[in-house]
Amino acid sequence: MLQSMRDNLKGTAAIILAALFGFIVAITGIDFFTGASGGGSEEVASVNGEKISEVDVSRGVRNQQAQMMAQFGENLPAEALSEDTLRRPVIQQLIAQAVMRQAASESGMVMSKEELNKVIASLPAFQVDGQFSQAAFRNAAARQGMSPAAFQQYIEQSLVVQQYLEGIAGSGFVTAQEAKKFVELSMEERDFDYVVMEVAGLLGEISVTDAEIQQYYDENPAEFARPEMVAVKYIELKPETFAGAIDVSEEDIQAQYQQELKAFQASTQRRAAHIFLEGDADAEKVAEVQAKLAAGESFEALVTAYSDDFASKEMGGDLGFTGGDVFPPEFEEALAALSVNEVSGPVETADGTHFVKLTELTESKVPTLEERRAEIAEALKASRAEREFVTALERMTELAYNAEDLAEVAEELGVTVGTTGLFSSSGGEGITAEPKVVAAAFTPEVKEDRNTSDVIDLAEDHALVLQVTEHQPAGVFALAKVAEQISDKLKREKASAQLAEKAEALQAALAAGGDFALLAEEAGLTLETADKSRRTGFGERGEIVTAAFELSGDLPAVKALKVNSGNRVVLKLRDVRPGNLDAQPAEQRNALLRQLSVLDANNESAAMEKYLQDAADISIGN
Amino acid sequence: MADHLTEEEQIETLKRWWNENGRSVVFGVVLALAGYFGYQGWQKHERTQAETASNLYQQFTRGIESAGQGGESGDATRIAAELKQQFGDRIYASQAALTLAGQAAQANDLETAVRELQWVVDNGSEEVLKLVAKRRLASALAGRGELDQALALVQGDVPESFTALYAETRGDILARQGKVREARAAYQLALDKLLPAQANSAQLIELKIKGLGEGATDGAATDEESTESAKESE
Repeated sequence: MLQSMRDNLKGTAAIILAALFGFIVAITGIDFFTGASGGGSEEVASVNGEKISEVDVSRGVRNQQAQMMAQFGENLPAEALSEDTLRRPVIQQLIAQAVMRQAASESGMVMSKEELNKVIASLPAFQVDGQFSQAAFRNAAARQGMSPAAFQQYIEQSLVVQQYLEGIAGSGFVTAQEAKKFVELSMEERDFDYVVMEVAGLLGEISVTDAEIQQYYDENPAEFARPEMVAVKYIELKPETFAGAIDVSEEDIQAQYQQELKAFQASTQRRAAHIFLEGDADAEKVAEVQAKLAAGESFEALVTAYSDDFASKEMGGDLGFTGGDVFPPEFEEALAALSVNEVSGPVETADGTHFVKLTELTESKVPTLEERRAEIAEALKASRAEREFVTALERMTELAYNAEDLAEVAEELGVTVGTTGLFSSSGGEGITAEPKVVAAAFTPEVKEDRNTSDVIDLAEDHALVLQVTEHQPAGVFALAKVAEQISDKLKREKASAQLAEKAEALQAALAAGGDFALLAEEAGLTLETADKSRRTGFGERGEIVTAAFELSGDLPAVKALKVNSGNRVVLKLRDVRPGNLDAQPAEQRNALLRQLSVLDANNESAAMEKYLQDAADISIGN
Repeated sequence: MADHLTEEEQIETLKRWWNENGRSVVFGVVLALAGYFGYQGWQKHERTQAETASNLYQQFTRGIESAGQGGESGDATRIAAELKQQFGDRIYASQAALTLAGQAAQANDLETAVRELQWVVDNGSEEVLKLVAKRRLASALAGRGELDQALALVQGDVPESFTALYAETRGDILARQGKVREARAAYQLALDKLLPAQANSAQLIELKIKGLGEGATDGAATDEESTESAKESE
C-alpha cells in the first residue's frame, strides 16, 4: 500500500526535484556536484570560494619539476626540485592564476569553439610530424590527470588569461619625451676638476685622549657589536689519522708481492685475428681453408675470401686484445697455445668454426719486489688505516653519545683532540669553515648544554664530533680590542676638521672666480681632472663623482665635501652634457625604447595582479 | 504516519493535500522550469555574444600582428571601431583601444593615442583597465605638452596597488613643470609604495630623483655637513 503512495508522489515530487536539480546545475555549473577539480581531495587554499586542492598542487609541483628539468637538466641540486621547496611558490602561483582566470572570465572573455580548436591544432605539443594528433592530445590530457573535455576547457581558460594579460602587457609604451629624459639623465656626462686634501699627513701630530676614546665607545655601541661566538674542541677522524701508527711487516709485503705476481701472469695480453665460418661446420669448407693455410696462403687473403665475421673481415680478421677472458674458453685455449703469427687448426665454439691467429703478444716485464715495495707498503697501510677508521668511527659514535668530555673518548680511541678559537655563526678557518660544523656547534644542546654534537660526516671518509668549550653571547667588543680603531677614527675626524677651514677657503676663492690650477699650486695640492664622467664609480672616486652629479647644472658650481676616509675634497664643475637620445645608433635607440616600455608594462601587470588579488577573497589552509 | 490508514483514506488525504496545494505546486514547477530555461537561454545568448566579440578581437590582434611584420593591417582600426560600437561594454573593445593607443604612441602619433585612451577612460567596462588607461593617458598628454590636464589625471586617490605607478607619472609631470620639491615627494612616494614585483624600477626612480639636482637627493645631509665642519673649525 505504501508503494502506491510512493508511485503517486513520484510524479510530482520527481518533477520538482528535477527542476531544482536542473536549476542548481544551471547556476553553479556541474562542479557543484563533482567538486571543482580534485573531487574529494583536500582543500589547500580557496580563491573567492574556488577550491585549490591537493591534487592541483601536486600537479603544479610535477609540472614545475618537469619544466625545471627541461630547462636546467640534471645539474640542478635535488633540493631545488623537492616538493618542500616548490610547494609554497606553486600554491602562490595557483592562487594568482585562479585570480586571473576568474577576472578574465568575469570580464566576459571567452573563446569560441572554432578559435579554440584552431589554436589547439596549432600547438606543437599536440602534433605528430607537424599534424594535429588526437592521440597526442589525449595523452597530454592524461598526463595532467584530466579528461579530454576538461583539458580542453583548461586550455581555453589559459588562453583567455593570456589574452587578458596581453591586452595590457602588449600595449604599453613610452613617449619619445620620456625616453629622451631618461637618456639625458642616464647618459649625462660631467667635466670637473678637483683636489684632495689628505688627512694622512696630519695624523702623526694628532693625539687622542683615553677619555675621548671612552666617550666615543660609550656613545656608539652599535658600531662595536660582537656576534655570538663559540669555541670548540673536536675529534676528527680520517683514515690518515691512523696511517702513521701502522707498521707494515716484511712478510706482509712479501705476501702481497706474491699475490701480485700471480695476478700478473694473467695480465698477459694477446691480440687475436680469426677466419670465422658460421654455424655447423661445413666440413668441406673447413678442410679447404685448412689446406690453403697449410699451403702457405696469406691469412689475410683467406679472411677476405672466407670469413663470415663481417665486423672483423675488413680489418684482416682482427679482434683486438684479450687478457684471457674475452673470447669463449676453446678460443682462448687455442690462442694461448700459439706463438706469434702462428695460426691454429679449426677451433669449434658454439658460434661456429674459427681459425685463430695470434698477431701480437704483450707481456709486461715482471716487476721486482724492490720496485714494488714502496707502493705495496703504502697500499697496505692505506687499506688498514681505512679499516681502523671504520672501526674507530663506529666506536666514536657510540662513546661520544654518552661522553661527559671528548678527551675521554679521544683517549679511548687513541687519537688527539683538536681545538679552535672563537668563531661566529658565519664560520671561520680550518674545520670551522665547514657549514655543517658551524651549524652543529650552534645548536642549543651543544652550545648551551655543552653536550657533544652528533657525529658529523664531512665526507665519506672524514667525520668529526665536537664539544663547545667556550660560549660567548652576543655583546659589545671590549674597549681594549677596539681602542686603536676608535683612536684612528677620531684622529681622522680631528685632522679632517683641521682641513675644513682650508677647504672652505679654497671653495670661497673658487666661487669668487679664482683660477683652480693656480690656487691648487699655492696650496701645494695636485689638481685632478675628471672629464666625461658618468654617474658611476667606486671608493673615494665614486664618492667624488656622486658629489659632482649632485650639483645642479648651473655653471660654474663649486663644492667642498668630506669623504669617508676623512679627506676633504674641493671640486669645480666645468661642464654638464645631458645624454642625447638622437645621437644613439638607431638599433640602440630602439632597444632602449623597447626595454623601457617592457619595464613599464611589467609594472602595470604587477599592479593589476595585486589589484585583483586585493579584491579577491583568498584563504590559505596549510 | 500512514501506516494505520486504509488505502482509500490515504488517497483521500493526498487528494485533499493536492486540492489545497496543487495550485502552488504547479506554479512553483512552472516558475522553476521557466527560470531554468530562461537562464539557459540567457546564458546561451550571452555566450554567443561573447564569442562573437572574441572572434572579432582575435581578427583584430591578427591584423595588428601582421601590420607589425610589415603586412596588411587587416583593417585593425575598422574592426576596433566595430568592437567599440557593437560591444562597447565588453572588455575586448577596451583592449583593442589600448592596443591601438600603444601602437600610435610608439609611432609618435600622440593624438591618436590620446583619443583611444580617452575612450577607455570614458567607456571602459573594467575598472582595472581604466586605471591603466588613465595613467597612460596622462603620460601621452604630457608628451604633447598638456601638462596641467595630464597632472589632473594622476592626482587624487587610487587603489594602493596603483599608487606607485601614479606617483611616478605624477613626479614626471611635476618635474617638467619645474616643481622640484613636489616632484621629489612624488618620486619618494613611488619608491615607498613600489610592489615587490616592481623592484626593478627602483633604480630608475632613484635616477629621476638625482636628476632633479642638488638638494633633491638628501639636501639635509649636505647642510648638516657644512654646519658640522663650521663647528669643528671653530
